[in-house]
Amino acid sequence: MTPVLAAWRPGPDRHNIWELIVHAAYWKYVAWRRLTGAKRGSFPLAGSNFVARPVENTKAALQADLDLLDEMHHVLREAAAAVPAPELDRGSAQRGVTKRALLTGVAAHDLYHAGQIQLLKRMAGSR
Amino acid sequence: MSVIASLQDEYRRYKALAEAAIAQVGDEELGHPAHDGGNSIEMLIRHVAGNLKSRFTDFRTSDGEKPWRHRDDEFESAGLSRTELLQVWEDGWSVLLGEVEKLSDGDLSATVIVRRQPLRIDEALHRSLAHTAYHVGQIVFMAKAMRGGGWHTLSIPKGKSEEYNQKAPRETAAAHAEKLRENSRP
Repeated sequence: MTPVLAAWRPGPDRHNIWELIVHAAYWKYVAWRRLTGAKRGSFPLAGSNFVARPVENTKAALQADLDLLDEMHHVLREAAAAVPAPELDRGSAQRGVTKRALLTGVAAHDLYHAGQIQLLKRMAGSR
Repeated sequence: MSVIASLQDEYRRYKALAEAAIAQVGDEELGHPAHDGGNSIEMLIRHVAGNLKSRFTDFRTSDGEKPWRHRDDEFESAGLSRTELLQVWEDGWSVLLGEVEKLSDGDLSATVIVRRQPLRIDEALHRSLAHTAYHVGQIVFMAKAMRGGGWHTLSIPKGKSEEYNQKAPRETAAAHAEKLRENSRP
């Protein structure tokens, strides 16, 4: 994917693929935090939920955000794998949500936005 | 919470998300493709419903890809009215939810067949949820494009993330689905 494609928006105020990448990274971080009970504030980027992208429309900047997504994915997977099975049915740091529900939810959230990324690629390609 | 219960809640969340988006789209817009040659919301509704109906009819005793399903047809316009379309949608979901209701965590390691390939039930359910969430994401994205500034948000409102995080809401998938249904009622 080129930075131009990642930065393309279908309209004003619509998210681009790049922002969805960072959004997915952010929610993997939130899920990791809620799973492990870690304190807030260690996400490497300023802002939350949807962070405006791109700041610099370069290949290196896009790669840095893809690396962030990979890192958050890896950290979450490691934390999930370390949860003993009986612990999955106990609460997470998100009130009322078990660790199992948290993990099921963040996985589905990823796919929800993956579908949008695929749609955006096709929309951009048909222009 | 059991594995089955967590999956049921997520399925219901994505069903409610799609319905809250579809409710904001005009009847004619349901048939508009996202781009030249692309899928419309109508096609995605029929595809998700067709997939669920095929996979979960006789879930444990027959191949999930049924001979009566014509997947390619789901990506052709059928010219259905909103009422007809929503009936197709409900038909697919009721087969899924009815079948999952019968399962317990003790069934998860049993095998089902999808396209002649054996799959554990837990794998089949997670794959199905992933497929459903993927297309619901597209339905919501397209609906939002159609509504523009008149869109009623289905998640955290723009600029309200910090406030949301501070309150640390008790937002289970089930609670989210219920909130979406409430907000969609006329």
